[in-house]
Amino acid sequence: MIALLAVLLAAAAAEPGKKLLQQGRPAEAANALAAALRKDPRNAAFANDLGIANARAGRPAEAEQAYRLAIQLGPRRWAPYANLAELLSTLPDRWDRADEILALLERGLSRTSPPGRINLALRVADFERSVGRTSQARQRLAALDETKLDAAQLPRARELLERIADDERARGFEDWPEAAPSPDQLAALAAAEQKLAANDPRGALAEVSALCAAQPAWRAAHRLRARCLEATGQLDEEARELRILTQLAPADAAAWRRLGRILTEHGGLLEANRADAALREALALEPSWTELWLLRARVALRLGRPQDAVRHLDRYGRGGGGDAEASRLAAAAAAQTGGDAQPPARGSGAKEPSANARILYQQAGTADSPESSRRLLEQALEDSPAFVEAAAALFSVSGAVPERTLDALRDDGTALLELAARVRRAGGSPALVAPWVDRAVETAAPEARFVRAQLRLEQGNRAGAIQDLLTYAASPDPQHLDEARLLRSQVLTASHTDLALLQARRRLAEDRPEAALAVIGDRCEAGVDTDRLLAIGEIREFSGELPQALECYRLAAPAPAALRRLARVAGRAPDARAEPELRAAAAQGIPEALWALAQIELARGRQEAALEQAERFLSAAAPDDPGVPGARAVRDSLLRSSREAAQARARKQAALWGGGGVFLSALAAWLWAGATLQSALRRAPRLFPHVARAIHEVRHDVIKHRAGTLAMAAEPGARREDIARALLAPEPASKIVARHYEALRTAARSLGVRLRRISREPLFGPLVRDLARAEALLRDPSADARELQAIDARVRGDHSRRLAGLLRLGPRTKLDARALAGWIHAVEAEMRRGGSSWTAPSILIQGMEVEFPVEKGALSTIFANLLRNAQAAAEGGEVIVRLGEERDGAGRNLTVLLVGDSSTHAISLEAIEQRESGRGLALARDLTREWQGHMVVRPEEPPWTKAVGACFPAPPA
Amino acid sequence: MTFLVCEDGSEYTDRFTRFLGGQFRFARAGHFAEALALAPGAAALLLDLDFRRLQRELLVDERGTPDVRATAEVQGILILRALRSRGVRLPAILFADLDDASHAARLQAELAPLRILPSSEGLPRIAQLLREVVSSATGSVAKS
Repeated sequence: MIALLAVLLAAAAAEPGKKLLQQGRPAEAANALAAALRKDPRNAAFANDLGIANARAGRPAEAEQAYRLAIQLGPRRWAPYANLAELLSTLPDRWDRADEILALLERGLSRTSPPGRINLALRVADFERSVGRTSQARQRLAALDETKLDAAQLPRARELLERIADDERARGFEDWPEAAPSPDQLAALAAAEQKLAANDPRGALAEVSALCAAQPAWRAAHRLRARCLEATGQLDEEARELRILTQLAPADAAAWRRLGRILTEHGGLLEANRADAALREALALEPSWTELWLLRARVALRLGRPQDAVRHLDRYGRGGGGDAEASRLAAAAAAQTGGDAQPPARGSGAKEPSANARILYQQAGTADSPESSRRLLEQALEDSPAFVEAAAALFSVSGAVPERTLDALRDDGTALLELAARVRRAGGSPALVAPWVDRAVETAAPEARFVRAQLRLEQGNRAGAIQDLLTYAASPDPQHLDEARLLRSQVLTASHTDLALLQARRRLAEDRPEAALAVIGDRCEAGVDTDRLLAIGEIREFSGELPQALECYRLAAPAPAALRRLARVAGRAPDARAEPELRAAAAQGIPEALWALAQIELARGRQEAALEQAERFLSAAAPDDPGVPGARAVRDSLLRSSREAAQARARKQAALWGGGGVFLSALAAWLWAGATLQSALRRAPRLFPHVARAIHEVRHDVIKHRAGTLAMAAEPGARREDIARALLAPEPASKIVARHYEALRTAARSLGVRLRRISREPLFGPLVRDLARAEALLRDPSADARELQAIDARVRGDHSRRLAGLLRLGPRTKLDARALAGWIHAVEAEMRRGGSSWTAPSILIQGMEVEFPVEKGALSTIFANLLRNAQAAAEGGEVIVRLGEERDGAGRNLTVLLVGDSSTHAISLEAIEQRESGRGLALARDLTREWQGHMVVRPEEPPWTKAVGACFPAPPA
Repeated sequence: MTFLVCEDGSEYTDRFTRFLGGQFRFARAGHFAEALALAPGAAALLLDLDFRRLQRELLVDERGTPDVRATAEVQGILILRALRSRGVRLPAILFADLDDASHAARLQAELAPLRILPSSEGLPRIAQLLREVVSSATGSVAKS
């Protein structure tokens, strides 16, 4: 009874302190509780309450002393341990005392009852978090059985996990330990610094690069290297260096600023998010760099976020910025939004909790009852409705989130997602947070799609989840793409894809081709599934085993994928065995096949085919196709060789043409070689007698008696067979003419002149052709008579005139006294050399000269023989030479060459005719006759007795 | 009406007979003696020029005297001239390619009535001349 009374009295003594504490008057409460403890020095509760009051009164040392006293007085009570842990977790010397404190707390855990142990464990975990021992804290929380946590403990545990995660994230931004360079390295760095200052950035860069290699974590070296790179204009390298620096020292504000500036000014859209992140880091570390807000505005505009740009510009203005660039960016933002872009009515700054709200939030965390905690949190949210952590904590204790908070966060998708995450961790249902996430998606908050996909999947909305995942995968900078892929595998109906193939691909991505083959095997043979053949081929190709890869693809053909892969491999390793597949690929419009075929053709030496395929490939291939450069080179080479070949061919052709020309020339020479009769007569006048005879024969036999009947073809009553017989029998007229001409050729050859073939002879040729045509027409009873008439006209006209004209081309030799004397002297000399008698002949020339239709040599021969004969006959007697003209019985004008002598020996024409050819008068006879003349023997007036001579028809005037 | 063809062969006679035989009759004389003998029954003389195929013993000079030295190439003229010298005044046509126009003119003047036809003249023209000869002999008008 006495004890009970004592307890009641003690409780009554402590009541004023507690009341003061609840009234928020911790200092007064502490005094009251201290008084109460003095009255009851062994009261552990008094000591604990005193600790709480001192803690709230800002007297941590006294609070710690009180808590330790409470522990000493009641070592099985969990509250003093918990309060001590909470107190010490905020003290700056906790790092140094952590081990001792944790040892104390561990003892408390071992001493307290199981229900209190959970509460204490939560506090210990929080202390561990506070001293950076987050892994131990996680382990401690993980050891708790959630099923045994009560309604207040469970949200507290989840909240603690959040804090641990936050701390870990925050610690990620702590600088790494600085390197410890040697004195020499420090000196080298100083030297490099001097070089840079001396405007030798390249020299400095070389030195500092060596230092960075030697001391990879040496921030000073990286900073200097970044400056050197900046000085040399190597911006990409500088950005890379700055990234390294910010990884080593996340608190290096200058590095962040420079990196943000480089990425903003020189990076494109793909670098925009990195630029903004760097600028945020820089501003977070150094808010005075207000010009960075302008850069952020530029980045926001680049990202198509004009509202963010406006907000950044607002920050810039409020930070004292006044650059005209701000106005330009504002106008650009307005243009992007389609109107005047206004700063958000409730900027993120407005959502930030006030200091009072934060205190209330902290107090709620240490409230001694859920109700108390709820009340404090509601007060905090009244003050700052957008206080996400407070709202989540309130949900932990009340199961609801104030509407005001939701309203405050309506346009802040990121905060809504944060709230949803915290609420979910606090046990909130998917249905509860779904509207918030939906709103976050509407505000285009980053990662909102991914969050909603998770949520929808949890709600069984697979279609919606797939839609969100697809959209998320298509977003520019998904931060959780790997998680999204995993989620997809849960969402999508399991495909029939051979997972081994996917695994093999993953092994390849890990650069482990052997492992990939181990997954799917390396059997590349007929009968193996096409996909597997393709996969094996890809692995072989990955390993650089192109022939093996090609074989796999061949086996997998004609699958389009196989053909495409085969074409690509064959483009690098052409193999004629794959030609059928390559042609199939080419037919399917796979350009690579054309390149492979080109190389195969080239290997075969079929350059034209290779060129054609290469050109087809170049016209069809994508510009970045790896085969393009090679194909271009081959094409150019082939074109060059083709040109050279063409030139060679041209030369060869020219040679052929030349040969052909030679042949044709030879043919032409054969056909056209030789002289026409006109030409031949000029070159060989002695041909004329042959020509004259031939013409005479042609005129008489052919033209007169045969061709002359052609005109009868038009005469009534004339029978064609009669005309035909006249022309054809016994020998065709054309053949007769040809025969005469051939005789002429023979004669000409004997004179050293080659006459043309008759077909090319301008006189006889046409005549023969016309005659042959007429003969042909006459052989055809139905032949047109008019053509025969035409031929007849030509024969009697042109042909006859030409033949007559030819006769006028006969040689003529004019003999006068002088010429004759010369001939005489020649004969005299000859005869005198022979010992013959010689009598100077008398010369009698009618007129001044006489023209003989005889070639000079023939005439001189005739004359010489006549003269020698006369000299011989005269035997020293008289000889006379007469040249004159006369008319014969036929009325013809004759030119006469007579040589008379005084010999008494008579001579007759018959005797001359009987003389053997080849000498003397016989020779004169033959030559005279040859030249259409005749020999004459005439009596002469004394002293001459006779004259032997030659008469020739006088040439027409 | 008979035309006396004087030639060393038979080409003229055959040709004329074949093509003009329906209109005219032709008699052949192979040398001067035959021509002289047949001339009285003929309406005209048709003379070849060249008699080189004729035996030399049958050659005659312009007087009709046999002369082996006589030129066979112009035997037709010599025969005509001999005939003329023997009083044969029959119209004559000499088939000769006389390249000397003055020669031809002289012959036509000396041996008239004489027409000299080149070898190129066709049978129709010859026929026309023959008709003219007939016409002049009979007084009828020859048809061209």
